Amino acid sequence: MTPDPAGPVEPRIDVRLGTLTSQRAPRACSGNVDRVVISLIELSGRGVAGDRRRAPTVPSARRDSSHIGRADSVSDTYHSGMRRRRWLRAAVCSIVLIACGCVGAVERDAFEQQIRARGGGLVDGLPAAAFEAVRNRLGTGDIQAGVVMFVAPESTQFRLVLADQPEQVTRFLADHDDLSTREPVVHLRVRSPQRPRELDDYSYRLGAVSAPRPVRVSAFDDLDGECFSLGDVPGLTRLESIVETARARSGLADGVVPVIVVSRFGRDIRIVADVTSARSDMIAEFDSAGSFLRIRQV
Amino acid sequence: MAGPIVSALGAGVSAGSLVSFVMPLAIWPGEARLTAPLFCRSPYLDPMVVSDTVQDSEGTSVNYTLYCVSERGALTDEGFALPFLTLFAAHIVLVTAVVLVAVLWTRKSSADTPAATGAVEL
Repeated sequence: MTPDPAGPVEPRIDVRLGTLTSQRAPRACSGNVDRVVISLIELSGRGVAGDRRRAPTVPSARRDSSHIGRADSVSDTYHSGMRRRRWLRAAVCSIVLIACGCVGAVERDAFEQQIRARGGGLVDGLPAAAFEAVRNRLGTGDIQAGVVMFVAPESTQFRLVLADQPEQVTRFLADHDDLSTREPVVHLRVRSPQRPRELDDYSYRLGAVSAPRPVRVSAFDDLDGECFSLGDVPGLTRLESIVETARARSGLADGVVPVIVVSRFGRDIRIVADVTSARSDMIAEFDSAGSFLRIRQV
Repeated sequence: MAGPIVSALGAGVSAGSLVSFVMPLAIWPGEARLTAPLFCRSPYLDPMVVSDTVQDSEGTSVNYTLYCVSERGALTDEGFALPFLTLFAAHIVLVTAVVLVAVLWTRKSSADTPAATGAVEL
């Protein structure tokens, strides 16, 4: 904050739309508070620079009024009082802003934790909306899928625990480096209706389906044995019930369901829900109709 | 009558703009939740403002996003630009209204005082 000899310091707040840049930020939000504190001091024109710049102006009138005979000492007293008041004003601004900074906003990880605690956005209408969007994209009524995966918001890490993990799920996970997401998302590995030996990956989030992502298929992959029709999994119309049953059966007080996988496990189509907590991981298995089968601790 | 309106509008635009940048971006980002009736539709009725801290070569910045969340955690992303612009307009209207009322009230008070008689009070 170097004083500008040409004139008063212009009010300055560095703001980008939706973004506030800060000079330092040991924690989120604290940085922008610093910047605004600085800006407010500048706005008042009485920051550290303002003190030095304005110092000679006001007291000069008092020095001229020599009838008191103690102009210098009065000036100094007056000046130091003004300076104290300015610092007090800046300090009050700082305290108010630090106390109020980021009021009403939640950090991303806390937000996602709340979302997962509510059910992760894995609602009954999500599968139907995703399937409909992919149907419209493919222009066909019957979709054959190898893997369907529902992922709740978790942007810091993605973790899937399965028992007897099928080969097609392993390949799917190997093709995706990071499945962490900020919004509830549905991943689908879909067989091309026109070319049955080809697979494409789609993801559906926030009401929009992604562009197809080609999947490398090996001659050893048994696509006929791995794929199933989405219409053969009526249990997905009760996704909320599956989430609640998995949480209840797990017995974990703080358990959440971050991932649900639908695939063929052997010859049967299974809906498998992970239930995770800080203390344990459980796997809840449902049949294609959504009936609870078993729960296992891993 | 145009005088007070113009001065109130000028004060509203300048002070409202300042408030609009300081309030929702630094002091009270959660103010964007007040715009929920405009952006959040059923069943996504719970507005939440989420902060993301981004560190890059220019320093650290904080992005805010307004989400409308349902009871089961389903959500819609409303961004921050539209809620911010809505608050921007609201602040200007609010400050303009307050200044206009203050100016009119001040004028009315001065009009109610007895007219000066030219006498000098000693």
